[in-house]
Amino acid sequence: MEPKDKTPMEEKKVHITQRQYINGTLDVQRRIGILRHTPFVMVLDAIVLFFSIKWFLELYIGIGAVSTVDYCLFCALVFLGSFLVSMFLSQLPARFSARARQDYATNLVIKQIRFVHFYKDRFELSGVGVNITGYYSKMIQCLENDELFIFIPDRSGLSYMIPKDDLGDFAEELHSRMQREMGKRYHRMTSFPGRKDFGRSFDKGA
Amino acid sequence: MTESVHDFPKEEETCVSVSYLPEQEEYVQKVMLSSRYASHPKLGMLLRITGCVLFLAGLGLLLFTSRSTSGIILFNVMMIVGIVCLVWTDMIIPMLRRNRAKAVFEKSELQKNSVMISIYGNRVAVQSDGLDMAFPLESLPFVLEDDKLFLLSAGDQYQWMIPKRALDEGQMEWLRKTFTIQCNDRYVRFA
Repeated sequence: MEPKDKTPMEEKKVHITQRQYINGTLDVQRRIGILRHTPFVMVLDAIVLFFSIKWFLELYIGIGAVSTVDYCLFCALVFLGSFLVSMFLSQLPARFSARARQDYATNLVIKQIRFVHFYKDRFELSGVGVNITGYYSKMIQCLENDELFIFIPDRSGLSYMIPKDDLGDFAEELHSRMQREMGKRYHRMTSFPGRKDFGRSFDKGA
Repeated sequence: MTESVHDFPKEEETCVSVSYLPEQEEYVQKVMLSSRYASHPKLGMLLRITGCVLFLAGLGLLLFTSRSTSGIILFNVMMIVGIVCLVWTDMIIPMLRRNRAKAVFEKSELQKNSVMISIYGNRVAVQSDGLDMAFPLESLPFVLEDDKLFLLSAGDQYQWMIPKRALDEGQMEWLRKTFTIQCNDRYVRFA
């Protein structure tokens, strides 16, 4: 292995807020966790609902009188479809957020991290009792959202979050550097109007 | 700018220091133990009852009511959903977690790295490739034990195991005593 580069390109003081931690955790789930299946579930749901409604309307218009069992079957199919949609759009994210909030309150590592040092090939997170080194080449993903850079070393749920606000002007440089360095492993998490900010709904000014 | 990781008083000697190479089965066991601690028994019971009611209702309606096509589909859907609810907590979720943990371990370099854990009277120090941490034992969110390992948690993302294969009886007894004193009811032993 090549000797480590000793001089950091940039040193910054960092602090991750509860809101950032919750939104970062959700983005990790949306990228490599169970929430990555959300688009597939939506498409499947739309197909089931479309054919259920089509079948029911044909029955209703064709025969006129629909039996109780037909009503029940239609309601069951609509309920199952709606349940799945609410599960992936609301209940699971809410549960992950609640878990992340609880984790933030008790996590010994997140709140201890005070400094980040960027080198050419790696970053180092440090603080009282904590020293973490992450090589860009060993990360399976680098996510960027409006507030954070998130480095993911594996699929175990572990992630290293670095708030962009604390990086100042270096955030722009890191963005272009990561795009270049990580290639397909870099991903910009898109937010769309109407998406609930789970971090904000839990935020108590942390 | 950087601060010392081991910024604790060092008057006492290391009492248990373990270095090991994690095995896949141990990693899976660690994940299962952690999720067992985080599970909600009441929710599991509710799901089992719902599943049982749905399955029996579907079966009863299928046997004793008119057999139109819609009816057969509806009652079968009820039975299938009932079976899924019934076995969700005990079979489906553990199976999914186990398979995911196996896949994670196989593909992860980080989880296969050797780990050195030193437990002192009041603190724990963990060293691995790219990781150097030390915490007071009393601030750990929880410490778990089952028949194969001890699990020390510093948060959802940072959990380390001490496999019992790397310890002798005396060390295990000392760890139990230390965790009981330092962690109180946050130290949980599973049979």
